[in-house]
Amino acid sequence: MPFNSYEFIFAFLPATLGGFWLLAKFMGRTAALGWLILASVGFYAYASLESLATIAPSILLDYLIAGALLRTKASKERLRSVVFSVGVVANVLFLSYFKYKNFFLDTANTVFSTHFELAELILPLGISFLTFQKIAFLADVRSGQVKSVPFLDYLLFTLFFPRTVAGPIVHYNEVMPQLTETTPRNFSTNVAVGVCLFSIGLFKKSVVADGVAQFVAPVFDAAPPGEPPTLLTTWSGVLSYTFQLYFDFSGYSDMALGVARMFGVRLPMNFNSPLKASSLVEFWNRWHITLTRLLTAYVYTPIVLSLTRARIAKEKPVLRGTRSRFSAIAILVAVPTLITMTISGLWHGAGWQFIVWGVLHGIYLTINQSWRIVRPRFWPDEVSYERVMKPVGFVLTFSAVVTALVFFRATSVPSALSILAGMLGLNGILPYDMQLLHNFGVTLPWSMLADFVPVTSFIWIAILWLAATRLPNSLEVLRPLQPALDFPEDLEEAPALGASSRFIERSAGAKDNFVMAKVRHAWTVAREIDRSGLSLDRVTATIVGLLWVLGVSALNRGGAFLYWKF
Amino acid sequence: MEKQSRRFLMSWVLAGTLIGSVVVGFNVAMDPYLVIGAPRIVGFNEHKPAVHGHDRLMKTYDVLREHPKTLILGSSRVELGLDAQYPAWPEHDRPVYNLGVAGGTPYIAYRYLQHVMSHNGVELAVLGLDFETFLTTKEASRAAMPDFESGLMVTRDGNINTGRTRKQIRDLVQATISLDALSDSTATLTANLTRGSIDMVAGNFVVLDRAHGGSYAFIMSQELYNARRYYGEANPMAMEDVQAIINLCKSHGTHLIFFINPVHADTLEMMSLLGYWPVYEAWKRELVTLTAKYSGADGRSRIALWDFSGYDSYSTEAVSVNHTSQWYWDPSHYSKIVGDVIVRRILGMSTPDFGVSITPENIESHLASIREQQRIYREYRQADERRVREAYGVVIGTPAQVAATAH
Repeated sequence: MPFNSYEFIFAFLPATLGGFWLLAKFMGRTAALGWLILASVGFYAYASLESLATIAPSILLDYLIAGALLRTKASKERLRSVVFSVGVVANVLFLSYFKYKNFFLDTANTVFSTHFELAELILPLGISFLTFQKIAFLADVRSGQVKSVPFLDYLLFTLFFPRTVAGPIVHYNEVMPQLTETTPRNFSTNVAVGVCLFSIGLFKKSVVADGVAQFVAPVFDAAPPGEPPTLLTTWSGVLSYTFQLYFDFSGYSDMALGVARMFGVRLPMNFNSPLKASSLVEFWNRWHITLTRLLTAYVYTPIVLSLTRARIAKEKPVLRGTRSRFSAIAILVAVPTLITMTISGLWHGAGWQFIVWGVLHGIYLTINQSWRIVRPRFWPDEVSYERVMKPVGFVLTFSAVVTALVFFRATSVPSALSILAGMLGLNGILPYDMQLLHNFGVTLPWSMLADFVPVTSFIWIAILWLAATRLPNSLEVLRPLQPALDFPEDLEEAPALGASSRFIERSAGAKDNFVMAKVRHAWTVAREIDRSGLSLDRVTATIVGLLWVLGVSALNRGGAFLYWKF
Repeated sequence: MEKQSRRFLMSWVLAGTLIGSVVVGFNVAMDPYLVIGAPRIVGFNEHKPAVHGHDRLMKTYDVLREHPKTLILGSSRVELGLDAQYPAWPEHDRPVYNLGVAGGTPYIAYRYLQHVMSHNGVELAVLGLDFETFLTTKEASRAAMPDFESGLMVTRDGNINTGRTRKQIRDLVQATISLDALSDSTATLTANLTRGSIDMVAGNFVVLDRAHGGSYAFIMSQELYNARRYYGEANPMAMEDVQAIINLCKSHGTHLIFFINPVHADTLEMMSLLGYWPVYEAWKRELVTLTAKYSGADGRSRIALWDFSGYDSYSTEAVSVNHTSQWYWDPSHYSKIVGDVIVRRILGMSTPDFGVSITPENIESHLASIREQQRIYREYRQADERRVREAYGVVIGTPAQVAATAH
């Protein structure tokens, strides 16, 4: 059951949480953890019993493989590699069967004119996340970071309901010690911090993401025949989607972190204001962080290492800072990046448009990283570079991300290309019907403009853009409460609101009426929150209460989490 | 820390409860969707601007409170045009309730009729028919309406709808603790304070804002919209629904008046351009055959079929820049003035120059007379005819192209 449903918020979560802490207090940790396993199984089964039946064998298989790895002595490195490979291949095959079978067959049918039948398969809920999670677990076991895995601990780790369906993807050692050491001593604090995170996430999801979603579908799903997408319409849809996806997934992540925290578990952060990034590398360090971490550790780095070793063995040049040769950059930067991002694209969805999305990001990152390597040769002055390129990079990064997202959301590659053509203004600027009417010599009165031009969506977009690029994020405002694993209590950057406060301060000299005084007071509070974060006081309780009520009151829209379909 | 956290949680619960109560209280008082049935107070919550976009939900609840003896059924054309409070309605058939809804199909009319009849007796049902809803359109798809159907008293086969309570709870939640309700409640309050708003009374969609009426650009844009709506072939399911309505009225002894809604000549011209004229005529013949089979078969209920479509002085109203139209809001929605004439005519109080009661005896001569009107119209109104042809040519292409893209 989704986090943004009445049954989760009003029945499942309170019951599970209450049971967990009561059992922990009166019957001990084991009973509480057993209860949590039961609840997690119930959580998943409620969404889809078939999915549970499908994934259960693969979960058990991974346990056997992990057991085999643990029993194989470290000296038998070859055997361990074989066992590990079997595990990885089994997981990938399992995922491929459900997620990619039809895609491959369909592609074969098109390319080789074959006639494979495309049977409808049920995609088990969260299978992509589960698969990567299980592979990461096996890798942790193989590298020796995990020394022993009791069966119930393994079950709890795999099925822990706050993060089963859509992450964050975690390491075994990040979560399990917290779960097994959990005590009712910090019950109230854990629940309080969890409630804060959950309420912020719920607001982001049901008020913001579900609110802006209405402008997305008309552009991506229903392009009526004879109505080519035009500039204003497509930008409205594409930018709305950018913010829908961001607030949907970061809202989900906040809720996942919040729910886990209620059980005393701090999960790693998954989002850190990605739209503030001024380069693609930075973007991926801030967007879906746990996926980036996983792909870097288990795909990108191994490829780079093996390619570097191979080049050294053949005495070919490797990367040497600004003096790097073109061939070294091509092989050691472009190849691993492109492979990694293509895998990432395919992981997100079985379709060519996802592959294009991945390849685009691969190209972006390659350019970004190569530039980082050679830039000092052309532009050695760090200070002037930062001053000029930070804003330029911000614009470039945002544009690049938005462009790629067209493929991510479009139903097919041709549909994405047609939308991109619209964004370039190839079909005209004004909505199609307005152009038609104009051709007939009909001039529209201003009052009717809103019937054609997506005015409301642009207001949403402007507000959300400011929120995503100018406001501190959920983890930053909650940082004194240690909302995420390893999230620093001190800000790396200057407070977000600091720079733009001059306007309010300047107006202090103006006539001080009641409204102005209130605005200034609110601003002072906001800046204080920005500077030192929220503490568990009455102001926070009111803000969080408001967010929670607004979030709950938008539940009837009931939009599914975008990442739950992966 | 634990003590502070406990205090925080208590403040949070308190703040949430307080804010939540304010939201619920406000929504209940404003009652934007008529789900609660709060008293309608002038200058506070009397007008219900949320009717735009929520008419099905609102009327499903509102109609049962009114205990109407006469129901007006059909699409937005009926909803905007026919006045349930028009004095011409006979005393013994009142109260009258306008159950026309945007996008209303014969199926929706049938389901609504069942809904009301299972609650109170209905003496007279007046049903406006639209040719478009008898084509295979998205609107005609029955499967797409679970949200509408789950709120009705009875299921499709006439049994008590056991899922209704669930839906009522959902509606109650939507009307009290939802952000949509909060925003519609705010809009309701603003509209009532500024006293300029659309409203719903006795099911009528009350239009106060005439800014759009007569705006040439608006009319043209509606024509583009209508042109795109024409596709597909005759949909036999819609005719079955008419049959079901007849059967239902027969079994309840309810008098039944069908009428074909008038549309602006532009719409007729467009229909003809797209090659639908023969289908349109065949549709009328089929309706005549169907109703003739039942009229007079037993003494319990009367069935009549009227046709108000054609090239008359109303439907050929000139479309021009900055002209405030009298008879038509746009190419397919007639005004209350026309609606009043329709009501008088079907109740037998008006002169016979507008609206024809069609029967097997007069249908062919009637169709021939419309064709003749059409010929004359095209001869004398060449500029209008050309305008329509150019507009649809650009949007839709030739009829052959339309047929190719229909499926």
